Amino acid sequence: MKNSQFLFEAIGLIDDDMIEEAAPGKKLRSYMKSIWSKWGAVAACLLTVILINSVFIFVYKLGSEPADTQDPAAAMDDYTDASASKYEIYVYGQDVDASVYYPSEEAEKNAPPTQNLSDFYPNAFIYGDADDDPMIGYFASNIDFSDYGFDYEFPQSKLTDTVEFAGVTYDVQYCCGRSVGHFEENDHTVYDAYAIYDHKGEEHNVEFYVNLDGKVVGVNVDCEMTEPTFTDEEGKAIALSYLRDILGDEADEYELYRYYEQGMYHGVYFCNKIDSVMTNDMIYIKLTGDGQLCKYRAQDTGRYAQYEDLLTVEMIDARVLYLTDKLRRLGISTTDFGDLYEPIIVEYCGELYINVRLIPLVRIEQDGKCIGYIQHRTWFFIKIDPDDYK
Amino acid sequence: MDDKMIVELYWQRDTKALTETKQKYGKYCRLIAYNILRSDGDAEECENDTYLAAWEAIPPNRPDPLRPFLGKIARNISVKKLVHQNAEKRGGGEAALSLDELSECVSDGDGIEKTIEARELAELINSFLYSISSSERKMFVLRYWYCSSIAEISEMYGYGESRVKMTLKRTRGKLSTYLRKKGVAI
Repeated sequence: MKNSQFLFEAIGLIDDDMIEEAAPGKKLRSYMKSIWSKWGAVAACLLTVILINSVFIFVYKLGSEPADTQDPAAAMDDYTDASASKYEIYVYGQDVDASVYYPSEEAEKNAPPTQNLSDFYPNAFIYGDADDDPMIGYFASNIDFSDYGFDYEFPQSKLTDTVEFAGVTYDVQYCCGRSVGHFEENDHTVYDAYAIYDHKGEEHNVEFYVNLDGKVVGVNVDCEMTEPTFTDEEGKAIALSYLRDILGDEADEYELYRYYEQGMYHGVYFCNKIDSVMTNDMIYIKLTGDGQLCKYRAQDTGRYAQYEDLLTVEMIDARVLYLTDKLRRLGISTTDFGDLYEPIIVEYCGELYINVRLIPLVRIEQDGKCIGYIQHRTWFFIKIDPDDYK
Repeated sequence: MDDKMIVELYWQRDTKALTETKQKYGKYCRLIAYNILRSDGDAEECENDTYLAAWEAIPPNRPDPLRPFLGKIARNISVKKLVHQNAEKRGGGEAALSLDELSECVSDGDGIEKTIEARELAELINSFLYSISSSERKMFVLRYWYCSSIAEISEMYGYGESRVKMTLKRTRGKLSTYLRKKGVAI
């Protein structure tokens, strides 16, 4: 018997309770559907497409100008035609009214030249439904949105020829608008938009991640990793000097602590804002063996820890309750903490802390009114005593 | 008539049990069979076979509740019929699609049944399904137990099809990881 069939048969033996729980509420509805309703729907769709296209052609013939290739954003607007489809689009967990527009074959042939976007070839665009809504995203040609959600657009007009980092200007040989999936909310993967710039240096190639605000949030240096030749304290001083170069005076707002990776390379440091119980401002720095910067990531962390096995779901739940209570005392009520994601234990000043990430979004209310959300990669630090868990 | 009374009729060998079953659960059994076979004629045949199988199985069984008991019979009969049909020609239907999707959770090939009993594997799947969220679980059961189509599940939940597909894909991924962690050589 094929393995998949065996699995299918085993699923047939699951508990009655689950079968009852999931029993279809709208029995037979789909296969009792009249064939006329199906053909009616097809006819209605065809008619809609014809009508929309007629309007589009009519408007175009009335005098719409072709795309202005000097303005890539405007060019992209004209690159789309009027064949729209409705999908559920979620932005940070919020359903938004939006339509998806597919370029026509003709439009694809006459696609405007892209600037610095050699691998950017979207096959559909997402616009808000209101008249003045801007484009809010696109489906990239190599991404199946049904599996991966959708990409945010990184506006081409924001791409630049150089990148400023730690007081140095780097020439860019290649850049593109990209997005990085970072968390799941209501089963949707949500993406942040970044520009990725490649700089070819004399010794190393460097990749910069720049967010929509023009801030460098990530740096990857193409270099060989070796064992550190420095002590932890020396490494901490080196990491701090990089942080000062990158953030200037703002670096003083951060504390550094070593990331605990037993048996692994130890040139990794986290920087966390001082006196912050709850923070999004996490920075990750990785040094090469000779103390060069290898990786810099704002709001990103590693995921392994020596003491991971000590944690149980109950322990984490208990700490979430503690945190919820703490937030309430600050006048903030939280709802729907959802799943905890990959708790790790970090060492700081000889003490151990649980470092947990909360997913999905936590809605923050004050006086019954939503005042915002704690967004992705919300990290909490809770001091722990490993003896408690022996 | 409530389930206990219907089961009692079976125990008394009263053929009214069959008419009561048909009246109360006929559509349910036919839906399961139709989801798997996608043929009205075959679904009706499986529905009738389900009553006969229930007649054979009660007594000695005294199922409570009756619905999942009948559902399991209907599913087994329908799957057997589908396998039989596929031996002659490749059949379509949601069960075939479900099988394709489930193949992502296991390695290609065969032989898994030599390392674990179906009942044992079902217990692991039970544990897994109880560990995930209610909506994920329901969608999984609808798709891989009831063989409901993606469109049907979307309609039931009022979700877009992409969302249903994505949820199922992730649940399959989690199941695969879970089974591997439990040492099932899949």
